[in-house]
Amino acid sequence: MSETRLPIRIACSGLGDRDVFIVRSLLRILDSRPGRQPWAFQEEGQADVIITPSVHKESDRLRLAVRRTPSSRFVLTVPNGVKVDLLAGMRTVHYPLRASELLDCFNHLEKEWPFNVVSGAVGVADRQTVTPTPEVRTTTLPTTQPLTQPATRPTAQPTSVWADPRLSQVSPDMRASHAPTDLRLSQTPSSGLHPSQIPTDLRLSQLPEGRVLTVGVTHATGRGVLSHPATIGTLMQALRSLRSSQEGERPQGRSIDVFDQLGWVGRLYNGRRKIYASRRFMLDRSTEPLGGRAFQWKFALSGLPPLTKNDALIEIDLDLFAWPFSTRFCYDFASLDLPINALLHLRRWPDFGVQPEFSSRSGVMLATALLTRQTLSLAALRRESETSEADLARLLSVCWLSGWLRCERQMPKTSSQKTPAEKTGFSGIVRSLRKVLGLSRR
Amino acid sequence: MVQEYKLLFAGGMGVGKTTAISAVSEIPPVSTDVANSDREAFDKELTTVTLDYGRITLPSGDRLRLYGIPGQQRFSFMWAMLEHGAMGMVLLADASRPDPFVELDIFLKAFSKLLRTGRAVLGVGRLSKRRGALDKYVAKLARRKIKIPVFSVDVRKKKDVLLLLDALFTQIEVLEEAYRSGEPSGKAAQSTSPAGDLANNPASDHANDKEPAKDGEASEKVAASASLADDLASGKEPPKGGVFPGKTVQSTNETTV
Repeated sequence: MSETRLPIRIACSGLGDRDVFIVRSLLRILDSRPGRQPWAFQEEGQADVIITPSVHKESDRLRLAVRRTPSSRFVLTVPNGVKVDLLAGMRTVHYPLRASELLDCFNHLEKEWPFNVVSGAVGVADRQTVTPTPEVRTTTLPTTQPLTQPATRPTAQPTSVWADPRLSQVSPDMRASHAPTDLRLSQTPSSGLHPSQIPTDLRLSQLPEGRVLTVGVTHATGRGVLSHPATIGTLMQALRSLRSSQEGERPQGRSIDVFDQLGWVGRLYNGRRKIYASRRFMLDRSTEPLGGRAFQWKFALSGLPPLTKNDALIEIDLDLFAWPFSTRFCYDFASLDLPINALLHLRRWPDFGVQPEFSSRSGVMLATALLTRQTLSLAALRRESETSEADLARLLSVCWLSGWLRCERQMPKTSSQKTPAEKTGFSGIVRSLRKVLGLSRR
Repeated sequence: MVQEYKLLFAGGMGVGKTTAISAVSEIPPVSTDVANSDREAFDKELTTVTLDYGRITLPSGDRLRLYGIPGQQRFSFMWAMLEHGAMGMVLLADASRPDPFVELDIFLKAFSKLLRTGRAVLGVGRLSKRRGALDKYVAKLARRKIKIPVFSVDVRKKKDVLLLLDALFTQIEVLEEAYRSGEPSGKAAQSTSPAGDLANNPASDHANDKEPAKDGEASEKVAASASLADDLASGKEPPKGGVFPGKTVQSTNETTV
C-alpha cells in the first residue's frame, strides 16, 4: 500500500493578491519537505485552514462560519490596533503578513492536524459524528492519528464560509494598514519547521508550475528576509498589484509596502510608477549566505542609476527596473501567465535602448512590431514572429509590468474602411541591409 | 541595374546625426561642417550646414545613401526634398536641451508624412534615467498620431545605432508583410488602438497637410540629391545656384511641405 498523506487544504478569503501569493509561496516550501505533511491550496470549496482578515463588521458572520465549520481552522490577519475575540479553532497572524510568522502558524496547524476534534467554546464536531464524504482517499495519516481511523475528509458543512460573498470583501483600508499589531500570538515557538530544514535551492524553473506566479523560498534565515527567488516573485506580484491599481482597481495615491513587509527594500507608489529601493538592501545581499544571489541581483539592477546614500530610499523609474527584472528573471521564476487565446496588443514600443541585447534576440523586435500594429492571439504571435517561448514570455512580461500590454478576450471591432497597406518596396533591400549590418533576423 | 535608396537621419542641431551616420557608413561620412556661428542655439565648434552623407553598398551593387539633414531650421527647405523617396528615417532628439520638445515638434511637423507611414524611429539621447522621460516623447508622438518605436540611445555606441536601424527595418518589413497579406494599412489598423483613435481626429495638426509631390517630381529630386551626394563624396564642389539645379527652393518647398 502506497503511503499518501492527506494534504491540509488551505484557502484564503478576502486577502489581496499579494497576500495569497505569499501564502502560496510558503506552501511550496512546506510541500517540498520529503516525508512531511503536505499542503494543498484551494481556490474554492471546502478547506481545512482558512486565512481571512479579521474585519470588525464581519465578526459576527465569522463566528457563524466558525461554528458551522468546526472542522476548519481560521487564521485571522490582524492589523494594528484591532482586537479580536478569538474562538476555538482560530489563530491570528499579524497583518501585513510575514513569512516567518506564517511558517510558525503553519507548523502549529500541522501539529493539530487533523482538525476533526474541536474542543472549547465552540466544540461541536465529534469524530464519530462526522459523515464520510463520497470521496474517500487512501492515505497514511500523521502519527498522531490512530491508524484505525479511516482517512476521510470531514463532512462538508451545510453552509460554507465561502458561500458568503461578504466574507470575500475586505475593506481596502485594512489592506493599507501596515503598522505592527499589538496582538501577540499565543503559540509557543515553532518546532515543526526550522529554517535550516528549508530546502536551499528550490527553483521554480524546476517545478511543473514554473511559469505560474509562484515562488519558492531558499532561505528563511538571516534577519528574517526572504531570499532571492521569493523576493523576485514577490516583487513581480507587487509590480502587478501596482499595475492593477493603475488600471483603476484601487484608488489612486495609495502606496503598496510590499518590500517593507519582507524587510528588505522599499515601497511602491500607486499611480506614480516609481520604485523606491534601499541601498541597505544591496549591502545586506552582499553578505553570506546570500552573497551569490546578491551578485545576480546586482546584475539585474545594473541598468539602474547608482544609489546615493546609505539606507536612503531612492526613486527608480519602474520601466527601467522592469526591463532588467523581466528579461532576466521572468521566465525562470514568474512569467506572465497568459491564456493561449488571449488577444494581445501593445500600446507602444518598449524602450529597447535600456537593454539592446535583448531586442537583438531573434523575433523579439518583430513580435513587438506586430503587436503594436495589430491585435494578435498568443498563438498567432508565436507563429508569426517565430520567437522562442522564453523570449516572448520576457517581452510580454515587461510590457505587462510597464502597462503597455493590453489583453482582451474578444477581437476588437475592426475598421470598416479596409484600405490596403502601403507597398513600400523596400523589403528586398532591408534583407540585404540586415546581412551587411549583421542584423539578420529572417 | 544598380538601385539607389536613401535613409534619413534627422534631428536638431547637435543631436548626433553625423555621429550616427559614421557608425554605420562604409565610408567616412562626408560632412559639410563649418564653424558654428550659432553658439547660442547649441555650443559646439562645427555644425553641418548642408548635409552629411554616408553610404552602404550591398553585395548586389545597390547602394543605401545615408543623409544627415542639416539641423538648423533655416535649412528646412532641404528637408522636404530629402524626404521624398526615402525608405525611412531615424529621428534623433536630445533630452538635455532646455526645451527639447519644441525642437522635436519642428521635425515631427516637417516629416509628418514619412513618420505617419511608420517607416521611422525616434532615438532620444542624453535621457535622464530617473525621470522616465521617454514617456513624454511617446505621448508627444501619440498626440501627433505617430506610432513609431522610441528608444533611449547613445548614438556614440554603434549598437545603439544598429538598434534604431533594426527597429526601422522591422517596421518596414511588417508594413510590407501587411500589404502582402491584404491587411488594413497602418493608419486604418491603428484605428482600433488608442493612438489610432487619435489619428482619426480631423482636428489634427496634419489635417492641412498637402498632397505629396507627383512621382516624377519625387524621382527627380531623389536623383538630384543623389547627384549632390556623389559630388560631395568625390570631393566636387556643389553646383552653383542652389543644391538642386533647375528648381527654385521656394517652389519645391511649396510643393512638398
